Amino acid sequence: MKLMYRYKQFWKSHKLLMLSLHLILCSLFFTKVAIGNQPILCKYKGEWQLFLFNSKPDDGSQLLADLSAEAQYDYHKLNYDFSIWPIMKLDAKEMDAESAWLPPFSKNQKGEFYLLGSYDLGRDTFAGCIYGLHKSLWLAILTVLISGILGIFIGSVFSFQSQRFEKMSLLSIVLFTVFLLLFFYTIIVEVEWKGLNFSLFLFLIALQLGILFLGVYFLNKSPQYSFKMDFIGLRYIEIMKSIPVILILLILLQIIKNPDVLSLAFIISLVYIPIVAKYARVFTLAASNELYINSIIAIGQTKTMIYWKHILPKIISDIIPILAFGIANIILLEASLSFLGFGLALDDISLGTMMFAARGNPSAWWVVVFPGLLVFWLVVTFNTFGEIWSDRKWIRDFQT
Amino acid sequence: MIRLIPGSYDELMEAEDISLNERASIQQIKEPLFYFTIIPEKNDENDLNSILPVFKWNGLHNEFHQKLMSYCTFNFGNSLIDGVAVSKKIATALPWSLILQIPAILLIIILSIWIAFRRIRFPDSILMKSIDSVLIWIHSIPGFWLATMLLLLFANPDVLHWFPSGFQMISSDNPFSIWFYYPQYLILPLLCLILPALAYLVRLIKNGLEENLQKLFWKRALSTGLSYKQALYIEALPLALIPLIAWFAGIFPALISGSLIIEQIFSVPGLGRLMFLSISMRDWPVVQFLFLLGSALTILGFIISDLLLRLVDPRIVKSK
Repeated sequence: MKLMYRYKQFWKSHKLLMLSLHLILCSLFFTKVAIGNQPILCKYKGEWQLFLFNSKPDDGSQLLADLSAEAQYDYHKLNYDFSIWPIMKLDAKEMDAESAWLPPFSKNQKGEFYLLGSYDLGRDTFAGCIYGLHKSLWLAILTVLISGILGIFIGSVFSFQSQRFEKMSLLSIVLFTVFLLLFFYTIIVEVEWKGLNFSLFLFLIALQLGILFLGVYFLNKSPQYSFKMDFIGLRYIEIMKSIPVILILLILLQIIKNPDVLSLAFIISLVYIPIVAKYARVFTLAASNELYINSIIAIGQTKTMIYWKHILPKIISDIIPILAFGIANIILLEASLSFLGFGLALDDISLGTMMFAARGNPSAWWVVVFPGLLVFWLVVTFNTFGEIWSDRKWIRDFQT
Repeated sequence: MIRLIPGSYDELMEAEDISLNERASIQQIKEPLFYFTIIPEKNDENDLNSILPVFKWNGLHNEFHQKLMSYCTFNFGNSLIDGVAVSKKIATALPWSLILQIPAILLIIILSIWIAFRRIRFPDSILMKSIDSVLIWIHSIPGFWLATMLLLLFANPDVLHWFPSGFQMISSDNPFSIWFYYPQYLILPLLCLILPALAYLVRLIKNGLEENLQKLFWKRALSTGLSYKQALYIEALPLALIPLIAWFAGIFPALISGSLIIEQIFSVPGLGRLMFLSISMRDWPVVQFLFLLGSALTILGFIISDLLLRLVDPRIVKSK
């Protein structure tokens, strides 16, 4: 009930922002329902097919055989027993070389209507915008999830340990050092050999996890020494911060050329982790020096419980605006990388690759303007969301 | 950091389309990368013994040592594409970046302080009230999109042909003469460089000042008989400089990476464009040196901004 009330209050105070956020949520999950050239759900000759998560029919099904034999991969030509179609029968990837570079509100020779025109190879700009929005958003959110989880971990655990519980047993210090050495050794071997044997790789990972677990298990054993782990995180942040972000990205994207969304998310999160870690570290330092942490320690709560129940929730609520600004930054970064021709592959439609395609024809303003406006709208939405969350006035409003 | 650099030869080997010229240069590189190796030779056996570390001392005949020695004697190697010395390439590209960056930095500093002070002096005027949301919008515009839109609007023969579209036309031995002879070339790129930074900085300065003007020193300053404007420019200027100095740390690396997209769009033959071209053509000696330069300049920027911050804000020294 309280959550519902807050939700309604937020709608009242920030109408435009909430509308934008809901549109973004819709674009994240319902793009395949809105546009597409294939049915969402269909029954063909007694076989059910669902196209929400995969774009191809199952291997060995009757539908796949008939598609390639009779219909030339056009889903509209087949007769289905039962089918649910998307709202608009548009396909962002459909090519038609004769109707390339059409201006907005025009028809091609076959009489098909292009709302926002078309760009190279006759792809529809409107469908491309909706599909590209979906791609860019998923990329940004995946990146922020990966870098948020790892960054918060690196930033907060080390600094909380060295701020409050700098003593641990000699055995675990040795085990943690062995873990770090093994970790770096595995990475170097992986790079030098260009791919390890898979079973060996699994064994090494299991060994590292086992050593880490043993180290945590022996934390409270008797010979205790003061050992501050903060310097590890701090050195990592310093080293990563001293290299300009776009240089690392351009060089990494030369090694892995034209990656898909998931691997691009991993590459971008590699440079975004230190930024999140830096803020997480600062917030942890502030949170672990609060008075109530003192009193919880006096009561006798364990270290891990203090971390999970009192430190982590506070950091996460502090770091949400940083992550929102991060989503905005990553959308911009992806768009500019793709615009330079280094980002996603050209047939993988995102807002940036559409604008990259527009460089082939400088007079086609509609291919630049509409994706750019979408990027602008996304970035404004996430920036204002971050701003409002960091103000936190609305929370105070609800409490009174 | 430098240890990262020789590693890029691996990337060179991995790269798919290597020209014949580069292939010849790879053949020469057979020396080990560092003073010692601990990684064993690759073999396909599945047992654990094959990945146990093997320590081997390589002596001074290694890639890292030779690179370090040549860098120490200011010999930065030659470009793989045309054989020109890297230092010469950078010397020709640097002035082109500077003619854009120097006016941009000066304008950003002056304009951001001026706008922020006006925002504080006239909190009730409509223009100043609306400027907050306008600044968020400007900050959210993608830089490359702004550049393309400006080109489409103001450098397009079909719409408005007020400004030239790029630097291709200029073939000048002395780039600094552009300031005096062809200033119309600079207007659009400068606009693209200034607007996003301005939007970011004005908000930072304004927020910092509004917090600080609640303090007692401000009442003291006003009670000495200074007008509000005078008090702002005399007493509150150091406070406004604090976010500017923090931003100043990123200026030196921005010479290389910050204007990369703008230089690419307006085809300015500066450092950013050199970086872009040499990465896309796999000219690794140039990339290595620019990478090293970028990292060194970042660290230099941090040190300089820390020292300046100490100078401007003595409270930092006291708190320690």
